[in-house]
Amino acid sequence: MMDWLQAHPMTVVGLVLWAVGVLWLMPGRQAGSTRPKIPGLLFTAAGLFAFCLSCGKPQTQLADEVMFWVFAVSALLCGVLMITAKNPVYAALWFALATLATCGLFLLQSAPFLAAATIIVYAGAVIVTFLFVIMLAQQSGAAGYDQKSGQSVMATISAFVLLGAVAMTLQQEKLEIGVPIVVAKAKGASDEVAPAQPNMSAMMQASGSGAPAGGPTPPPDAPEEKPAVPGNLLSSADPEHAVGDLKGLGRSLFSDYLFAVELAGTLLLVASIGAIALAPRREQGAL
Amino acid sequence: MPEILITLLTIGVVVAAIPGVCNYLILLERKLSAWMQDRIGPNRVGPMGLFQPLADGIKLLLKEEVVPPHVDKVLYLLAPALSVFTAMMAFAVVPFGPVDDSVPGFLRFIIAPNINIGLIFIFAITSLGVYGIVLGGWASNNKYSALGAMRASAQVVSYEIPLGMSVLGLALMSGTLNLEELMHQQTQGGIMSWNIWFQPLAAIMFFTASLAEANRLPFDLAECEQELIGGWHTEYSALKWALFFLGEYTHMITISFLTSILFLGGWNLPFIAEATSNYPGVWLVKLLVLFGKAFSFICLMIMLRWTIPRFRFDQLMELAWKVMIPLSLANLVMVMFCMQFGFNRWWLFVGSLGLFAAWGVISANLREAELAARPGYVKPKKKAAAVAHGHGHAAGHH
Amino acid sequence: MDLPNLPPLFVYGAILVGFVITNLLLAHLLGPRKHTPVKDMPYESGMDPVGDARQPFDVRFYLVAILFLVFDVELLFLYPWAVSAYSEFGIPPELRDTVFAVMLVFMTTLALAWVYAWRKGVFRWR
Repeated sequence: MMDWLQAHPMTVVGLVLWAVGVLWLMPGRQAGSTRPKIPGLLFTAAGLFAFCLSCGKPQTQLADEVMFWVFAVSALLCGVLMITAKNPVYAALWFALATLATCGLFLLQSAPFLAAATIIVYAGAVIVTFLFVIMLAQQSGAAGYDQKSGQSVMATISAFVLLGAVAMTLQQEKLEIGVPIVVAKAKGASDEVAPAQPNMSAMMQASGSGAPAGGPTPPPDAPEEKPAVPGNLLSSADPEHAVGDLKGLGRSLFSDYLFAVELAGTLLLVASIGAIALAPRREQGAL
Repeated sequence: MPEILITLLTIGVVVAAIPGVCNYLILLERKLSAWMQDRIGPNRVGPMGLFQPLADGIKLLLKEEVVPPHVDKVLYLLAPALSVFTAMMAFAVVPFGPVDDSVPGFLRFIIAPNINIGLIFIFAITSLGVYGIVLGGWASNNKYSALGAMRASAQVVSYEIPLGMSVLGLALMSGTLNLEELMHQQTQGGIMSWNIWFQPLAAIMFFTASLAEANRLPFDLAECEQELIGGWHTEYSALKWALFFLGEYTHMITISFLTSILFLGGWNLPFIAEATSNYPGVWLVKLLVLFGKAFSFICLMIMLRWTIPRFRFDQLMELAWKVMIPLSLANLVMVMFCMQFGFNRWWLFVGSLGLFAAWGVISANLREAELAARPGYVKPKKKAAAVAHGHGHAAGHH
Repeated sequence: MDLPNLPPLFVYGAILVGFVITNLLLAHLLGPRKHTPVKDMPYESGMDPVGDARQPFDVRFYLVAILFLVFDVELLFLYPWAVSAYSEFGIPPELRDTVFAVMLVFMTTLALAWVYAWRKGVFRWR
């Protein structure tokens, strides 16, 4: 911990500056009170800049690098704008933009289906549902109870401590943020290639199960030829059909992670039944 | 010719052509509507009203644009921009002509080739189209706009499910969702391999759900003039209103191309444009065939508008959730069984018809049961029986 | 970037943004503007508007939106399956029977959610 603090002063400074900026920009408890925005924006920008400088290494190709930074910084910035927006509609929109920027990052990682899926689920479905709620409940500004219950100081501090922890882990694990993980192209790929597959599949399942990687179907034979990608036992990536494309994803998802898919389906069933059962009935005057 | 120039050429042609085509589609819609209603339609500007779109365009460009003070200015301006952007962006992966060797090298009839998630890209982009509607309705700060936006979003959201589910059968059979490949498989096999033979039900559902996604009649409850003035675009005027319209017509174009490519064999036409036909200028014929198919779908949409009356809102939602979703799921399971056990594909045709009929009977019975549960319900009787019963009743009293 | 197919998409997107902005600018520059009190009112077919439009109002079919979320996510699991289930380079043939059985169960859960929602009256208007 202390080592990390000493080794990465830039990250720490960036995080602190950023947190102060966000705290400054948060809408206050009283609807009427408005702080000047400039200091908050300056702090946020400086913190973001320092944080980004401290983690991540330049890539080989200029275009990739530019794209990565554009998407990454705009995702973070949209996140900040989302939590500091006064109007819930704008907050939802910034959320949508942050999601789109994340999709750009997925595209850079050669995962077009994941990008499209994120757009469909988050931007297309979740946020539209948010907008429904906003139309239903509170159309102009946050409601009174929302402003009273806001714990912006605690929330900001805990969020940035969490972010710091993530940054620390990443820096200690020597995972290079900013270097696109190349799709596993050959069986005997090197260690750098390793994270590609679990990441992609794990994210696909992120909506559902927390099942460990590896399906219920054990590998029929265990030749132990050191699979290129951990947890990728039944399906193998081959040069022509990258894991990122639709077919490769299906092959991996429905052979190695079959059980997880099934669990996700069950979880979704439970979720929908729960939502329907919990929702107040129309006869009670709601909905 | 370098790749980037070809791309720019294609994009230039598409971006320039779509607004023009949309303008003329509006003229077509007015003319066809007039024909169906025994009127004359626009006939003053130019021969047969052919310059009407130009006049309309200039008018819309030069009209006063009212930005009322009660709107949220940023979102008010963003909404039409978003709806045009999403509608036109979805066109990027649609092959609007033959994509093979017969085409001269400097032409490419698709903006972004080889996107292997093809259709999913289109679904993702069109699912963003809801934002244009929701934001337009909310930003306008008008009660009619808000109601229209709410209706539209509930509708668009509901029809996204059957839309996506109806193409799953195709994906199972073809093993791809890339539009170029889907078209290629059908054009290679000739007319007997068109997907409509194996997935007629899916074709109908895809077309219907797309109509609903595009807010076209009979699904235009979100902007029906009699109830909601203009729906979510009540407060829009001049070019911003025109942008909403451009979005809707672009959506129509995309739908008609998609339906032709997915189910009707793309540019394939027996004897005229086959995979084996090889005469000079064959690419032009193929292009025209595909355009012709798309054009007839557009005409179909316009004529549907004056054929089927507008739904009531609860009927609209019931159609999505109680008819199209179960049917598309059943269709998918059917294809799955067919592929698993290697049945002949033609059974799918029979199966589709069977499913359609079966669900018709089931849902009619369910509907009857639901009506019967309502207070004040009078059971309908068969005509002859009712008459006999009535007589008996009367006789018993007197 | 690993995908050679994406640049046309980005270029097209950028050009479209330019197109849309040009349109909005044109409308801003070319049209005349003259505010009058009546023109600035919310348009409600000539009636004077009563109250603010931004009031909480009854969003019917809110539960439908929730259910849509569930179906949408399930649909996203189905796309990769449908593409790879019975095609070359897809799911390995020896696994097809297992996947078939599992997907049957998966779709049954989907159908169960749907039936439950219908029984609970989610699709009803009243």
